[in-house]
Amino acid sequence: MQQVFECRTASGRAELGQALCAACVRMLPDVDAAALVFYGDSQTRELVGASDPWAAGIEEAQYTLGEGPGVEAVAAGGPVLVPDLTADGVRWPVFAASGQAGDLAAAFVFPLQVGAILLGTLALYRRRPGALPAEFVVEAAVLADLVSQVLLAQNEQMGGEEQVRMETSYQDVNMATGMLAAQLRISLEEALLRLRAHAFAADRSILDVARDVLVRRLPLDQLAD
Amino acid sequence: MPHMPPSAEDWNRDRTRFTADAEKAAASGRAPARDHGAPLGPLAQQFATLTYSLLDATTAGEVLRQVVDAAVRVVPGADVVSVTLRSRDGKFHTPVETDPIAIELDQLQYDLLEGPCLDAADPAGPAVAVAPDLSTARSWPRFGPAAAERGMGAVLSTALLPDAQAPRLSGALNIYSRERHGLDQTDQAVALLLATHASLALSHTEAVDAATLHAAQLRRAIDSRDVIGQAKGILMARRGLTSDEAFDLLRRSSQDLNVKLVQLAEIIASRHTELDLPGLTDPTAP
Repeated sequence: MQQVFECRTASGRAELGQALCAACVRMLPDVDAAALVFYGDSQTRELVGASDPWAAGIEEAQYTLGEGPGVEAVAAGGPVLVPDLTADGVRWPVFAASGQAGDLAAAFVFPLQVGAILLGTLALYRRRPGALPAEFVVEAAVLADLVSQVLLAQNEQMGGEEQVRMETSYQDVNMATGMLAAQLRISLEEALLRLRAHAFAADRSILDVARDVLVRRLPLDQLAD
Repeated sequence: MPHMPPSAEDWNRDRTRFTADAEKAAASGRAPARDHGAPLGPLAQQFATLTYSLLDATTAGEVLRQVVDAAVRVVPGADVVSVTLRSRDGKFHTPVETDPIAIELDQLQYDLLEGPCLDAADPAGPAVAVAPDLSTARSWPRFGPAAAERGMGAVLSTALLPDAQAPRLSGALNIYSRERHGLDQTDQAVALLLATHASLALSHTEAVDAATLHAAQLRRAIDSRDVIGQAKGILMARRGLTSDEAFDLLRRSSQDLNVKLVQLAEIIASRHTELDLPGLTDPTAP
């Protein structure tokens, strides 16, 4: 558990997120990768960190598709344990079939929760199916609490301006949502849905599509009705 | 000039002026700049500013921060100010303070299980707990001398949410002075006013401890970042700006309009299809 607190020496927020994920992978045997995601209101997200690009890709796939174990953990406000994704594919048919999740076989997602306030998820991913032993489930839940405390402490250290100015991993999605909403004169919710729909149809991640919108590479009529 | 009680006519005139000022202030988003009849003293001005900023505060943590910052400014004898919160499980925390020494002084009381913070934070305790001279405080034989050793002369704790029913949240506003007998009746009266402000603001929150207060702030920061990103995108599309230019425009406009940056972003994001803010929108846009 000490390893989580040692992460506090990491400089900057991106480094902290990555260090926390790496610590989780080291401390929990039988886990290939970990990712931390904040869930905002109105379907927005922030990737706080990932232990490797594979885990980051799984989070992007869930953001793109709007379903998956992380989304369910937030909706349920509790852990979601999926020992075998192929067997559980019916829960998230699009996510399981998308291919964007790569060779993901098992996922264990724990809410980052403080009191009644849910901040996001700590997700643990594995390429091989199989349950997470009970003692590690408890340990992972405790880890999620510790990680929450470290992230709270880091937020407290930042000034108000720094907190809102901070560039986040999915900031491009937020900006592209705003651009699309203004250009097509539609609501932000509708704009995000169209980004997602386009990404899904093209089998691309929402982040890639958002970047195309920002550099005005994607003709708007492709995103219109 | 002999002091005369205000007549009903004076009272009505004053109230009319006050209402007009308040409406003007609400429309412009600024604290009332003009006094209404009689010049406001520095104390009243501080309270007016505090009241407006409390209306603006979106989390209990912000409310408490503003109250301790105001207390250290307006309570004449205050050197160090903190807030004690007592959570539902009976545990004590210090979520905000104006000086790190306050954390030590408060913690000392939580550990010794005695002190003015604990008495005032106890829903069954007194509304105010005072030690005019800590070195000889009989009520707290261990805390008094320990606080005096740390350079404190007097302390005044005022109950927050004194109507709280256990197991509800309760707490205390703690004011320390480095002078022995450094806190008098005036300080007590001002502290009571501040504590009332804080209690009103806190009664609307379910947050029960420092971690929950901080978590609410983090949630707020996450949503703020997302909505600022969306507002930037809207401005980029409408004005052909880069992301950095869009942020600078947001920040400049928030200063010019005297609206918080996040609030401005929220307005742009939620009403972009109908809104044409002067200086913010592209006049050539359809």
